[in-house]
Amino acid sequence: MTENQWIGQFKRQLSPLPAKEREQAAAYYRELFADRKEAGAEEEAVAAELGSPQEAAQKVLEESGVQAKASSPARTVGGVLLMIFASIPAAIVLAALGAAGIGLLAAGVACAAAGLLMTVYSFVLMAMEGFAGGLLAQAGIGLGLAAVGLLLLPAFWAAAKGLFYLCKKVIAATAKLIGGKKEA
Amino acid sequence: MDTQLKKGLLDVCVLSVLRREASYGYKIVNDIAPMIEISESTLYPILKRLEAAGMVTTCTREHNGRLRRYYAITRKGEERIDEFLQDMQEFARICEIIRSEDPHD
Repeated sequence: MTENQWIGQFKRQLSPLPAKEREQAAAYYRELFADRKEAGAEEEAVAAELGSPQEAAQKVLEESGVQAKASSPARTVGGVLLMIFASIPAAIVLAALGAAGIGLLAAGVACAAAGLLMTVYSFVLMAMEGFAGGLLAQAGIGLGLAAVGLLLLPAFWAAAKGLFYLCKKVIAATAKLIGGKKEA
Repeated sequence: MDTQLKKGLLDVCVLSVLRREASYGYKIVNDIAPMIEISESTLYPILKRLEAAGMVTTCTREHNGRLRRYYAITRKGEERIDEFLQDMQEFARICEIIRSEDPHD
């Protein structure tokens, strides 16, 4: 290959490095090309003797303590795509868990509230229209419902907390998956 | 030669070449050849390392209408060579013990 091809490939491999270091390294090799050509060598022969520009770049990178493969464009795009696709199922699960948790709470509250309302309404009717067996029964049912709602409320609350805890776990696991893949 | 061993030697070989006179990449590679085998791609990181350690300084000089980077040894670089030679005496002492213990001798 030609000098420009060699140097071009060499510099591309060095993209993780700051510009100044990259230019210094390239200058070293351009100088080698110039000195060897001055001594009578052919450009293609010098390129061949210098070996693979990738290997030469690798040695420079090792000395700088930088990983060569970290930021190739393909990996960045892959990382972004993975983030998007991993987020979608996680979001769906989270939404479902969230909805379930809220639903349980709402059910408990609704039950207790409905029961209480029913009881109060029954007594109001009795006060207005006089005692009636049916109304008393209704009040009883209302009290029963309220009792059920109230008793179950702590259970619903515990279940909802458990569900939200699961949500957190799902978020953490997804984040770890994305983060881990990006480092790879 | 064992790669680990060679690694320790290369830095000092480069320094010893520069102790004779300040030099540039192509010439350093040629002047080192009788001492030890080294490639241009191996030399560059060594020069960078020596410069970072303060054992070598660089400057540019004009040559045939282009700029050449020259490397020169520093006091610290010379001390490194002295330290190496002392280490080698210790090395030789240990070698002698190992050799004298060799059951095949």
